[in-house]
Amino acid sequence: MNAMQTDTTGRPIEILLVEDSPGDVRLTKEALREGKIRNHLSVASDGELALAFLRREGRYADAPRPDVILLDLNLPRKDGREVLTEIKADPQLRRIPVVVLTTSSNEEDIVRAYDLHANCFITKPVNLDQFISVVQSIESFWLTTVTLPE
Amino acid sequence: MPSEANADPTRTDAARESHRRLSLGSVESLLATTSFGLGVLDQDLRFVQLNTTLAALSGAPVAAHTGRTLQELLPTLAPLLTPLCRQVLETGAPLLDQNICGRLPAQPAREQCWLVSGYPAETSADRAVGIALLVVDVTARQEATQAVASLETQVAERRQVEEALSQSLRQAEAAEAQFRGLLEAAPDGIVIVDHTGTIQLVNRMTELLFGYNRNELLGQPVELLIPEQLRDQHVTHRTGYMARPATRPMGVGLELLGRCKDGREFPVEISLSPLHMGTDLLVTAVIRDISRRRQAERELRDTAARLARQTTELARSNAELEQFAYVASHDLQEPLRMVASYTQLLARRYRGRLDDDADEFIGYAVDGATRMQQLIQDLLTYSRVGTRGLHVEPVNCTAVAERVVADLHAAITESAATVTIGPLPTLPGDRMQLGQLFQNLIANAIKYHGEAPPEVALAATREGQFWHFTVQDNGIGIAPEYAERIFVIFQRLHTQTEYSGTGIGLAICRKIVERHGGRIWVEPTPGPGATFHFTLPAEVAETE
Repeated sequence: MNAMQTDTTGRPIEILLVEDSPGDVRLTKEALREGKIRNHLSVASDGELALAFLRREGRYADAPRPDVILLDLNLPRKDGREVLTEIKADPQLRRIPVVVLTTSSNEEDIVRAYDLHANCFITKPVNLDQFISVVQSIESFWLTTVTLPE
Repeated sequence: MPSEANADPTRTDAARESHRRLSLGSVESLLATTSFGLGVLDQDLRFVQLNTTLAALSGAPVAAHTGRTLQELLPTLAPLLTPLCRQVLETGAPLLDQNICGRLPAQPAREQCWLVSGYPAETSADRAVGIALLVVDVTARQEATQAVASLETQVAERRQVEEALSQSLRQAEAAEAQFRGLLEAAPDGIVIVDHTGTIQLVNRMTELLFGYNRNELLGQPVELLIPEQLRDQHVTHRTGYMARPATRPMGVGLELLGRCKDGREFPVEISLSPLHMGTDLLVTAVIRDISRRRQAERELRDTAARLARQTTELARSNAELEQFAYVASHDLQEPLRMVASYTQLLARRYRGRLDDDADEFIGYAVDGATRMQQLIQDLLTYSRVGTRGLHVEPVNCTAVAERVVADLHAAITESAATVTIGPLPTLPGDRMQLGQLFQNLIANAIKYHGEAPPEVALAATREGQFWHFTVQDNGIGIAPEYAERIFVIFQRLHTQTEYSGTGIGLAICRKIVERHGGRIWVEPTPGPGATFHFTLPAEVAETE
């Protein structure tokens, strides 16, 4: 679960994956494992849990603040659009980059996600090689290329 | 032997003399009083001698004639008589019975005619040559002849008139018979009523239609042929019609019913026409039994309704099917992505680390999953063409085709293909769908190439309301028996090893073309290859 490499600051980067499909969770983990960056992946399997994690509520009192959030749109209980809305409405959370990673390539979903201030929208590639390369480019772009506020 | 008569010589002589005198006297008096005009003229046509009849022509006394000319005494007849006399004088031969007509000064209003004969003669005094004229007045005879001729003419005319009359009578009889024949043979019931609505005449068909003998109908009110509940109403209508008679169908828009003798009612169609007979007004009603037509109409309506229901049902089930295809393919994508991803992960991590069998199995699993993903992707595309609305706008087909060729750059380079784009129109359509149409057809043309490098030509010509596009290639061609099948979804003519693909490209093409209101088909190209044809409306049309 923990990558062996560190980023420039020495601590593993924190990623929150909001995804209800265990298959996708595992694939993302595998993709990250093949990547070059040491990371720590936390998983929330629905929208409620994701927000609880981010707000360090209940059993997530000690949860780390993620450096990037990978958010699926179709989630049980509270779906990805609502989660996105709440994150971007929360002054404490709104600066965390949110990458919408979903199977949808629906134009309406894309527009809506950007309207809700998603930082980027990615359609999950159906091919494994492409999926791995997408996850790795997310990692390298958002965690090493861009400069984010401390 | 002595006879008693001859025995008296005195008597005999006296009688002889007396007879001679009488004879001379009678000849002279005869000449004087005869109705023949007689006269002798000298060669200068001066009267030498004449009788009173001839003198009467000029109206002058006999004595006044001597020594005077024809011209002087008979100026109106002289132009006719003079040539006659001259001819006799010149030829020395008589000229007989010359008919001359003219008017005398005494009776200028009456035309008279004479038969004139001229004889060469010697005038008594100096034995000079002259001419004797015999003139017979034939005016009365002529007039009688004319009167007879006129009578004959009148008789002939009368005969003609009688002939014509009897002929037209025969014609009228023939026409009457013809009319009767027509009336009786007419396929419609014909009923003639007078202004009181009393039946005056019916034909055979009326008897058949209504089941009455004509003797039961003649003299009866026409309402006898109408259902009881409609009779009062009919009387009102009939009275109205009599007031303003005109040739017209009866009861337009109403269900008209006839009533048979046995009480059975049947639908009829009636046309009315007025017939003025002197001062009386008759009305002819032509009655047609339309039971069969009504029956056919009902059946047609039922069939149309059934068809409409079936069409609606079909459209609904079609829409449902498309929706199902969309939902199914969409929802299948997720589990399939898992299968594909994990078999690919297996291959990535474990190829060459298990045994050869495992590698082969993994290979088939990956391949199968990948193909299934492609199928589902295509199915989604296909159902989207049907379920998404068309965004119709003016589309510059040249720009779209050039864009497609640019997108196909890799395939074109790889196969050394030549793609020619002829002048293409701008027409109303869905830009994305037309792009897909061009892309599928051009990509197919490149893909199914033979030995030679592919040559693809896209062209369009205007044909009436449509643009007719052709995509011609020099590839492997399509056998005519498959010309229809290739447009059916998932129908493929080749194995995956020959040509990969899901068999949906042309089905999508057909759907796009048909949604735009056009038609798509394939024909063999002369020589190798195939030509795909499709039409698109040149103007905005109802496409949905």
